[in-house]
Amino acid sequence: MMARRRGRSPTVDAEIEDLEEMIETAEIMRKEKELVESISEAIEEELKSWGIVEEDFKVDIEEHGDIWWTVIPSKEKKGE
Amino acid sequence: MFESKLRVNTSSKRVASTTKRYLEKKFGLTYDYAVSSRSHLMLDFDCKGEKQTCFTEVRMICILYSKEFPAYYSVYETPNGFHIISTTEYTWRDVRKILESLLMGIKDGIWHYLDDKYIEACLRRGYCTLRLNQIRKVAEYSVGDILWEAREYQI
Repeated sequence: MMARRRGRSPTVDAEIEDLEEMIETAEIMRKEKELVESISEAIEEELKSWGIVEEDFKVDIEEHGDIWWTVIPSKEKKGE
Repeated sequence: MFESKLRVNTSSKRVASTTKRYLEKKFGLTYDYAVSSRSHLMLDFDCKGEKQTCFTEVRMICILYSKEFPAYYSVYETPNGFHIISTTEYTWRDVRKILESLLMGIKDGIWHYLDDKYIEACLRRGYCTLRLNQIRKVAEYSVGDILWEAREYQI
């Protein structure tokens, strides 16, 4: 916890502490994003070297709004 | 035999595509995509071997609902039936309203091929989700109009 500075009210100190935490979180998120992007690029390169090309999704939903994709084991393979 | 229970969620199509190909290569298994959303209407039809009659129901639902809740709908053929996916965004409130109305239609005997268990699950979960397995786009509708339909399903 940040030590209280001379002449500042506890409220201001608490606000400064919150802002510092937000900056720290934003920095961690930025680093995580960079890491995910670099891993994705590395995997993409490896897949290319194996001769596996990009796959078309066949679904024309844009990447916006409240939407997410899941990669799940195929049912056929499990004999369900 | 090795069975993977791994599921990977991502908001990026590209990451999903990369992950799918990587896992397939790594484990020698096949994986599917699933799409989930609170802001897109997604419906599942089980045609019980009656594809043409089933498609008539799909068409009616697309025309009626894309007009009442203005939107653009795509229809995908699946091995057992069809999927309808709204490519226009809705609010979950609208999606819920449409799902509840369709469920009522099933209970009243209007819709025969629309999967009621699927709709109930969407309403319970608070979002729609579809497994995208061996799908093929066969029609598009916009605000009550037919934009195009695959030749085998045209009137």
